This record gives sequence, C-alpha cells and structure tokens, in this order.
Amino acid sequence: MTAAIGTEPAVGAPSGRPGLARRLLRRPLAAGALLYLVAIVVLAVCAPILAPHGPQESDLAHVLATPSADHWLGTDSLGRDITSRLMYGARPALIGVLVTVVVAAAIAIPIGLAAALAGVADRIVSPLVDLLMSIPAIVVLLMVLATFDQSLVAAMAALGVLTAPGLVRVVRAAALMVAGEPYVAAARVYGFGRFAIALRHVLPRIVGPVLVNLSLVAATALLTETGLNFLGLGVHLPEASWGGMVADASAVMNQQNWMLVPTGAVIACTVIALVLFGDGIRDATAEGWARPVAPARTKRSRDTVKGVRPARRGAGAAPADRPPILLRVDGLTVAFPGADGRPVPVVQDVSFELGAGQTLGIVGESGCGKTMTGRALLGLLPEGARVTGGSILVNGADATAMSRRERAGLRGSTIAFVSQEPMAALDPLFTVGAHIAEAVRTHTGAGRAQARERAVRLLGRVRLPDPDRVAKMYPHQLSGGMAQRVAIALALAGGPKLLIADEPTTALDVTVQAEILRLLGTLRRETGMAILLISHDWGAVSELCERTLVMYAGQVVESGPTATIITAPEHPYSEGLLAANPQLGTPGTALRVMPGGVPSPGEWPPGCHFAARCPYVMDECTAHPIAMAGTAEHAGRCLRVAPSPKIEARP
Amino acid sequence: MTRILVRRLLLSVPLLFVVSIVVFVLQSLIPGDAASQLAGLQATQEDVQRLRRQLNLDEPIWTQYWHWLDGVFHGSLGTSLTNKEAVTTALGTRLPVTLSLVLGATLLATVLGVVLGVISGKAGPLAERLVDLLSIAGLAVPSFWLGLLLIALVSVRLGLLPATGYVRFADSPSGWAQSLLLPVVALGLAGVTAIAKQTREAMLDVLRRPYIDNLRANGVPERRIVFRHALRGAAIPICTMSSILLVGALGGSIVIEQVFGLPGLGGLAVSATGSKDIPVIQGVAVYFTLLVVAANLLTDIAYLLIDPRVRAS
Amino acid sequence: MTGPLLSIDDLTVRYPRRRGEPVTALDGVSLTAGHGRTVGLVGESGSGKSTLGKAILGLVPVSGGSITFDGRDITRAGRRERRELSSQIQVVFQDPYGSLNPVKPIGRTLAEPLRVQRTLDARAIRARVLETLERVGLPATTVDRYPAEFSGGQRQRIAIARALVMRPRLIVCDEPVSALDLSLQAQILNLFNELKADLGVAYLFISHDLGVVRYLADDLVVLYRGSVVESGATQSVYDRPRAGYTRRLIAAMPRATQVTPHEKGP
Repeated sequence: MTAAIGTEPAVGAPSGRPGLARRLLRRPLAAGALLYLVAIVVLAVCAPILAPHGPQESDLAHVLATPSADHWLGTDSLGRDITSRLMYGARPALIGVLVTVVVAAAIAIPIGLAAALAGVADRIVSPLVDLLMSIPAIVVLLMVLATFDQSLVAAMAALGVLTAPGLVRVVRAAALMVAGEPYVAAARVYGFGRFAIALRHVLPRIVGPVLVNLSLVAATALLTETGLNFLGLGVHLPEASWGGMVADASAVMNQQNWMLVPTGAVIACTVIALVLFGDGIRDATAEGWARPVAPARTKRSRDTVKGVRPARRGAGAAPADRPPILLRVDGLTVAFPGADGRPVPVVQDVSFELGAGQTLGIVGESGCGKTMTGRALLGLLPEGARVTGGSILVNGADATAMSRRERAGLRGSTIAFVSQEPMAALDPLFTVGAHIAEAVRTHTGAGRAQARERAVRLLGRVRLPDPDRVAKMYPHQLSGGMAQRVAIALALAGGPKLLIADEPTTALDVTVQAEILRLLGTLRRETGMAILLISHDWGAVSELCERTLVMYAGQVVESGPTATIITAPEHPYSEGLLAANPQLGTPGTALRVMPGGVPSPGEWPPGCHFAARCPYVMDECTAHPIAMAGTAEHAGRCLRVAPSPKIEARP
Repeated sequence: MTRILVRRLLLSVPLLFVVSIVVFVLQSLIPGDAASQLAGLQATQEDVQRLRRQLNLDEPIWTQYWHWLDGVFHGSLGTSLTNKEAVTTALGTRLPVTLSLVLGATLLATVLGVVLGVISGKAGPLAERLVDLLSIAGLAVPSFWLGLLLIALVSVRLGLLPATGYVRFADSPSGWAQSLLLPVVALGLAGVTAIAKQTREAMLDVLRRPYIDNLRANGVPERRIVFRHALRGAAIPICTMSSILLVGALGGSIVIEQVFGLPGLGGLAVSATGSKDIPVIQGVAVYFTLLVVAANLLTDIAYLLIDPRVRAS
Repeated sequence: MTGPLLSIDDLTVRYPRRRGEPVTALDGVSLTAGHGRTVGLVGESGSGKSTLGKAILGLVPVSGGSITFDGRDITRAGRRERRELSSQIQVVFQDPYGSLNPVKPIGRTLAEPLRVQRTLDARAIRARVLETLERVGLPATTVDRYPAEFSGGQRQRIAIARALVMRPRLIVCDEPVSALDLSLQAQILNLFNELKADLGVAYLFISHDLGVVRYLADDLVVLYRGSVVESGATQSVYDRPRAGYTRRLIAAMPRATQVTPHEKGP
C-alpha cells in the first residue's frame, strides 16, 4: 500500500534478519529444488555404494523389464538396471554442468565488471562479446570433442567459454545500472579504487541477476551435455550417461516405450530444479535488504462502488451569475485494501465544485491524496483502489455510477489529462503527429488525412513553432518544454471541458515552467475549458488558479480563493506549508518548520489528521473527526475556524 | 540507418575469419588425420604418406588455411576428403533441410509465443501462472526426448505422420510439410513458452509506462493501447528473443535431425568430425556462421524499423 | 586560514563523444568559496552545474584550468590523494533513494569511510557514527536498519550524516532538497544552516531553484550553458541582476506573496 504513495517513517520494523540459508529454505519451491539437487549429487557420488546393481551388470533373463522389486525402474535392452545406470549417468551430467558454470562465471564476472566500470575495458570487451556470441557453438563443440578424444570435460569447458560472452553482457548491463547510482559516486569520493567499488558495492547488488543467469547456464549446459551423449558424443560406451540412456530407449521404441519415461524425467526434473534454485537464491538474497514490496498495481480497475446511487439531478444548479457547474465532487472517498483486508482510505470525504472555465488548484505534499483525487476523477485508479464513498458529478451525471465504457467515453472528450513527466508521457515509438492524430481520430472519427491536419493545427495552438516539422518528430527529439506542449496538444484533441494537470511543470526548467503556466492560462481563455491544477508549488497555483484546495493526509483542509489562502491561511497546515517556502524565508533566520512528516494512510488519527504537527493543537482536536467550517467562499477543517451555518446547511 | 547495417556486415567479416581460423586450428590438433582414416587399417605407412601428399595434408597448417581461403575467394569451399564431392554441393543439398527446420521452429515459436503471451498478459493471474509453469517445462524437456515422444505418440501410436525421413519441397510440398511438422514442433516448442513469457513481460512492462496512462487518460481505447502501443513496444525484446532462439535452434537441429533421420547439415557435421573431413567441417562452420550473421542482421533491421531512437543513433 | 577554501580558475570540462566533436560541459569557469560560507550555484538542466560539482569531487576528468583546495592544487588528484581529501570534501546527492547502498545497513555505510582512513579504532568509529546520526536528528537504532526502511526525508538526513561523518570542511550539495516535499525541504534547509553555524562547514550548493539558493547562499554563481554569466553576493545579485539570463530566471520565479500568519487561538 504505502509503497505507492510515498510515506514517512517505517521505524519500528524488525531489523533482526534470518540468514541467507534460512531465507532460502523458507521458500518451498527453492527448498524442494535444493533437496532434489543435493539428492542427485549424493546418489551420483555414492553410486558405487548405493546403486543396487553395477552399471554394466546385465541380467539377460530380464531384458527390457518394467519396474519390479529387483529393478525399481526396470531394465534396458541388455538387462542392465536403469536405476543404477541413472545414478552412474548423473556423474558426467553433474561434472559437465559444474565445469561449464565455473568456466563461464570465472570468465564473465570479472570481465563484465571491468567493462562496466572502466571505459577502456568496455571499448575492447563489447565488440569482442558481439563477435564471440555469433560463433556457432555446436561446431566448436564437435571439434573439441574430436580433438580431445571425446573428453566431456574439455567440451563442457569449451561450452563455458562460448557461454561466457552472453553472461558478460548480463553482468555488464546489471553492473552499469548500479554503477550509475549516486552511492557509487559517493564511494569514489572516498577515494575507493575501482576494484574495491566493484567488490564492495557493485557485486553484492548484482548477485541476483547473475545467479539467475548462472542457473540458466547450468540448465543449458545439462541439456547440451545430454544432447551430446544422445548423439554418442562425449562419452565412451558403454559408460552410463543420461543422454545415452535416452538414445538406448529410442533404439528399442518399437518394442517398448517405458524406458523413455525415467530417462527423460530425470533430465527434465534436474533442469527444473536448477532453474527454481536459481530463482530462489535470487529472491532470498534480495529479501535480505529490501522491504517487502507491495504487489505492483498496474492495471486499472473499475472504481465504481457496489450499490449504485442514482445521480442527483439538479444538485449542480447554480446561481445565475455563476458559470454552470461542470464538476461536482461530493464526499469522495478512495481506499485501498489494507493488509487485513479492510479498506484503508487514501482520499477521504473530498468535496468541491468547479464551474465551466474556472481554475482550481489542489496543493499539498506527496502522500496527501492530490494525485489519487485526480485519478479518481478520470476513473483511472491504480489496481486495488476503489471509490468507496461519495459521488463525482460530471455535467450532472454521476461518473461513479457509469459503466466502464461510459466512463472511458468521458476521458479525452470531457475530461483530459496532462501529467508530470512530459518525456515519459509520449510513446517513444510514435511521432508527435501520430500521437495526436490517434487522439483526434478517437474523439472525432475523422479520417487519416483530416486527423493529421487537425493534429498540426493543435500543435500550432500550443504555440509550437513550425508545427509541421514538430509533427514529424519523435519524442526523444523534443526538449522537455516542447514535449509538455505536445502533451497538452494531445489533451486538447478531444475538445475537453476540463483539463486535469498533475504537476505539469515540476520536471521542467524554471524559465520553461513559467511559459507552460502562461500557455495553460491562454488556452483556458481561448477554449473556455476549466483547469484543475494539482501541484506542490504555491507559485504555480497562484499563477494560474482562482481558487485552491489544500489537502493534507487525504482530506481537504482548506478551500478558498488562492490569493486569500496565500495571504491569510485559515488552516495551520496551509500556514506551515507557506512558511516552509524558502522563497519567503529570510536568509539567516531559520524557516518555520512543521515537525515530522505526513502520516501514511492507515496511520491517520481519528481526530484532526494534522494534530501531531500542529502548533495550536488542543485536546478537542484529537477527540473526533473535524468538519469543514467557515463560509462557502473560504472554509477550513479546523476548530479554530468559526463554524458557519451556511456550510452546515449544504446538501 | 544504412550505416548501422553496413557496420554490422563489416563486423561479420572478421567473425568469419575468426570462426574459420578457430576451426582450422582445432582440427590441426585432432590426433590423426583424414589420410590415415581414408587409407584404412591395412594401409602401409607409404600409402598413407602418398594420400597425405595428394590431399595436401603434409603442408603446414597456415599454408593449408591459405589454400582454403584462396578457394573461398574463388567461390569454392573445397572438396570433401572422403567422397571428393564439392563441399558447396554437399552442403547445398543439405542446407534446405536444416534451414526449413530451423526457420520453421523459430517461426512457430514466435507466432505461437506472441499469441500466447498476449492472451496470458490480458487474461489475468491464472493464465500468467500457467505460462510460467509451461515455460519452465518448455525449458526443461530436452528437445530430442520430446521428438522421440512425438514419434511414439503421433507416428507409432496414432499413425498420423511419418516418423522419420525427409521429402523435398520440389517433390511434394505436402509431403515436405508432413515430414517437417514433428521435427519443427520438437525443436520449436521450448521456444514457444520462452517467447510467450518474453511477450507478456515486455507488454506488461510497457503497460506500466506513464505514457500508457496518459493515452488512457486522454481517451485512447484499450484495444488500441494493447495492440498498437504495448505490442509494438514489446516488439524489440521479442525480436531479440527470436534471434536468440534461431541461433539456439541451429545447435539443436543437429540432435533433432538425428532423431528424425533428416539429411541436414547436422548429420554431415557429426560424420565429418568423425572422419576429420576438414573442408566439410569448415563449410558447415561457415554456413552456420553466415546464418547467425543473417539472423543478427535481420534483428538489427527489425530494431531500426521499430524504434526511431535506434535510427537516430 | 588565509585565502579562500576553494578556488576554481578557468575550469574547462569536455566530454568526449564516440563520433564528432567533444561536448563542452564547462567552459572557463572561475569561482571561489570562503571558509564556512555557502556558495549557491544555479542554472537550468544542461548548464553544467552538476559537472562542476563532479569535477571538484574528482568524478569527471578536467580538460583545462585548475581547482585549488585550501591552497593545494587538486585538479588531477590521484586516488591516494582523493582518499586523503575525502575527509575534507564531501558530497550530498539529489536522489535520496539511490545515494545509499541498499544492501548495507546504515551503520556500515557510515562507518565505511572511517574504516578506510584507519585513524580510528572500532569503538571510536561507532561513537562517531552515533554522534553524527544524532547531529542530523536520527535515533541510534538507525545503524542496524537498511535504506529501504526510511522515507525520502530521512534518507537525505542519512546522506548528510554520511558526508558529515568525516568532519569535512566543504560539502558539495548537488540538488539535495529537490526531491523533497516542502515541509521536509524546510527541515533539511534548517539542518544545513545549523551545521554551518555549529561546525563551520562550507557548502557548494547546486540547485535549479533560485528560491532555495537565495535563502541559503551567501554568494551566488549563475551558470548558463557551461559559463558563469553572473556572480556576487546573493542578495545583491537577486536585487540587481545584471546578466539577461539572471533577469529571466528571477522573472520566471513563481511569485507567492508574503504570508502573514494570523494569530488566532493560543
């Protein structure tokens, strides 16, 4: 839950951690795989003691026998005991796997690390890896086998060498990612050499992916080894080998198919065990330092509540001098399922109205529910999140009661969206023109050429110079400011009545921020659309928005005209947030700070959510939930705000 | 764009050199030579010596390599030491078999894999688990064993398809298809699950990206998001996986050809290593390397077509 | 203690490219930082401000000019010299999530540089670590925990503690509060000021946010496309900007009007 929202303290988590072996054994699949592999190794090593029969001991009275008390897995065409031969056959298989893995790891790990950490090494290694990866391994293996008199060890060592380049790539890529992190730079500031950094900081981080890949190398090695044995290579008959036993089975397929079963099964099971063991080790290593990650919530979910309420028609009726109500949010509550299955609210009882063409800002820190509110309006809550209460009236119709299809119909055409990261908001594989034309066609059903033409016009609308040229560009060719203009053009494609802009300027340079805010203001005047600006930045909100909501820990704590809130905030949180702005601070004197941080959802107190950080806190604050008080014009969720009958009387 | 392709082609020249030299050096280490093999057990020392001179095997290895290389520049890969057949001819009759097998297996894996991947990606956690399980099974079951199982079930038990043998496409297209169906399935099935898993992971990865969210929020329908944006975004890792499978299938084909009695390059390679028939081994190595180069080139072209950022760099 | 703590003269940094001309990230940059003072370095992305910090820390090779720290030329300091310098010059990065090794408990991360210096025994190291943690407002139990257990603001405190544990005289701060929310940002800014007052440490404070820099820095250097376009005492630059770019930067600052916290209640 909390992982997605960005939270304050997780102090109090236990720090005594079980060792790697314990963590590994707690995973049933990995433990099973380990057990199986240990058993195979023991059976192979102790075959002379444990095997019921000698590997070449033939019992011509029982040829091609099916399982019996004497021959648990039957006998082959020479009457040799299959169980015993499988035990002896495990020896070449395991030795082969071991040789390949050791050789590949010994070559790949140091070289991959060197390539990632030293540019010089990389310039040699990378092309070499490309080259070596293209060598057809099987031909080389055949030659090696012929050269070294069918020596399996030589062939498997060669396979290790041939596998190494692929592994070098994996190691290099993983190490490069880690090497780019600031903590590695910090280690360099301490004067650590590359070798020490590789050993202390990089290697421990990439153990997971490297182990997984080594387990895949092991699996491939086993399959190659048995394949060679199947061809009669790498083994001196009549020595037992798993691949050779499959070959024996294939020779007698006309008479009997049983022999295929145990021989194939033992190979397949060993491969599976190797893979599962690798996965298990990776997970167990990572578990040592990462806190359990909440399941990724990626797919959107329906946010409609069970038990649909009828839309309250006429609720949006407004005085004649006011613009018609476009959006009316009433008591909106959004919740995630908590650890115990009970819903944990992330947005609680949010109410506001937005008239056509009006601008409203939502201000607050991360974890306050601003973004979640915006997503609820769009009907695109993350997986698991649900609207558990309240209504969202769009032009008088309750969006929370709509079908998925109706809801999707609102997006883009009535409510459009601009996000924070302009670069990440565009598909890198499509041109700017294709993006916008796609949206135009979705909303207007225009033809290809017509959509294209309208796309170029929209790019002009957002004041991009030379829109024709920009339409042909790809996202990676745009600057941040240009990309944000394109994202805005995309949002305009459906002629929306409301634009939700979630931190649209945060990722941009200061001078560009001002331009984008000005553009949004201009577009609003030109198109008459309303704008809901979600931001942590008082400056941006005061630039663009007539009215502002301040949110804290899921609730609206203050609503009113932006200018009034900035000059005379009602709620202590608004006040603290404004005072924390260094722009308004006096150099040399400490900023007024609110102690602590925003409480995570699920840790909200029953009373005022801000009480723990509030300088004015009183006993009554923590007793029971605090209602909004004040006038319709300017209200706050604080006991210090004089209650007003006007607010209480609201429907 | 063409620069990248040219670079790739230029890189393949040293690759061919490296491979041919590796093969030459390795074969020179093999104890005994083709002459003693050909001459047979009864041959006298002189017989072998004479044969050796005839075959130019008495020359130093670099001279031999030079002769071979000289031949390559004149379009000849030499003649087989065992049956005097031109290597290009010997390989030429066998190449179509291996090529159909390998390409068929890769195609089967890619097409079926993508379909399965998309379905499992959209169908929820149960389908996801199923593909995960299948992909481990696909990796674990040795292809030669699967081939034998298919023969036992489909050919022997059900009598549906021929167990072994190869029919040329020119002789009978349907016979060709029938003779290849089981080998292609045996060789390609492991790849299906690999591609399915790759497709699903890559698609889900794309679907997590902010731009997908942005497109959704601005009304682009789900169908277009999945098929236009997510699948295209997933295409690069799928192509990479396909080309890896193709290279892997080259190695696997040797065993599968043996199982199904197909007269491909693999059988030739095995027998040539046994009889130390160097020109043939060299030929197989060169053909295999060329196939790898072609696969890499195709992958590069696919990257270029799919991703504008690659085009730019 | 004569002369500036840090003096950079005509510094040029070029990044080589695979093809074509090298990119010039810094072009003849000069600046000085006095003992115990805060120099703010502002500029937009691509202005070279982070490169300058990296050059001082020896993380990028210098193409021309010189960097002098406390009268000693450190432009091309070797690894041994760097190790020695690391007790004098330290760094705090922007990303509170990537700046701590996630596989190590905090105590190990903080103790590591002290162990390398080999001047303190294990007991003294532990004492120093605990003292530093307390200094940045974190409990002693922090040492056994992993970075994943902390929020962004707490991690930034830990990152500051890691810089402080060596008792440096200069800390290069590369956008140290940009990833933080306003109220946490204010807490960290206050911490920076307290540390400066108590320990006499100097900062090179790299930021895109003129508001933050104006509040914190004694001196201000404005970078634009790899060159210094303006420098001077912060307040005077802010009040009377001379360069066109500085003026645009100040004009673009979102204007939030002065708050008058009203006293109601107790």
